[in-house]
Amino acid sequence: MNQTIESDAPEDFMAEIEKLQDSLPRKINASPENVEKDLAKLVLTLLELIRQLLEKQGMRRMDSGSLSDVEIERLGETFMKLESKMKEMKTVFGLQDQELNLNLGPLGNLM
Amino acid sequence: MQPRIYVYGIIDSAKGPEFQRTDRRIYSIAYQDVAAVVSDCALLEDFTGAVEERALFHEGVVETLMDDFTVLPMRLLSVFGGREQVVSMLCKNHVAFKANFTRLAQKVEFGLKVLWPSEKIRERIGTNGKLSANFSNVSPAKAFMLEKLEEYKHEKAFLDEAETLTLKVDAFFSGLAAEKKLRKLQTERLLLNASYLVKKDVRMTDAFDKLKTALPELEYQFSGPWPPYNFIVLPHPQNED
Repeated sequence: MNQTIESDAPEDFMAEIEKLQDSLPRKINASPENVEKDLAKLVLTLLELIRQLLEKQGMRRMDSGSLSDVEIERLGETFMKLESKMKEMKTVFGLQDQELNLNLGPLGNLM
Repeated sequence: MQPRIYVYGIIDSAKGPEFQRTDRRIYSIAYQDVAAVVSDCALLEDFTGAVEERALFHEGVVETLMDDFTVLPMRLLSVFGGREQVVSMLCKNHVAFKANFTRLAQKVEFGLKVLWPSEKIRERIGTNGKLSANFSNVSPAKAFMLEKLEEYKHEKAFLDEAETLTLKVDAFFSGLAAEKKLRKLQTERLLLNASYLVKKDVRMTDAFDKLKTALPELEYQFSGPWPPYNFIVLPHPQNED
């Protein structure tokens, strides 16, 4: 069978595919020297996921008009504190934003 | 000492082909009504070098088989200890292989990747860090929420545009495909990474030409026919008692 292969700007496609492959380590690289940091990374990733989900849910409700002004104010304060606390914890463990993610293989990235 | 066996793929026939490809004899090992297409490899053969060359050779053998058989291609460098191990593998997976052959008979895979101008889309929607309103007259908590809402709306608009465009692209092929796998927005620019399973006689290149004419502002990478790499369904390995 003869293959058809047509590509616009192959280098552009290569660049995007490389982004997919290089983005994250596939396994948690736990070692005795950095087990504390790796565990923190895992825990903070899950916390960040929950924080983002809560924020998104809040935005959906705000967008649909189902939040009162008082509720918006209270949620805003809570989310601000959560975001600030997460930044603090990332600093304590020396973690960058892009490190807080998990590669779920065929399912893609967690976040 | 028996040689190791390199397996290229599984075919839906007990009577497999036998041919020479460069210095390797390609032959088959049958089990009931299926067969593994294989070649011998030396006990201490080194698989660490020249991966691209091996990949091309492996792919070449699989493509040759596609002309006459339905092929379930094996992963590159699938090596078994000997003939008995190959037969054991065929036996353990026979039911799953037969189910796949029924589903995939006379079908091939085409791949389509689409890049879109995501930066221009975001500029148009207005999400390049520029907020559309001044939130200085409200409390910090409310300003926080209003800023997040604006980001949320812009992200939603971006995702909605991606979804709409993906559906437009997919419309050119979905009527032709028995099955499809759509991976959407794997990166900011990679709008779609699609695999389509179609009958061998379907004219996918005609559909692709129509797509290019209809949506010339996108960039495309189109290829096929391939063996149905993305449509093989096998059960997870069970732990043996």
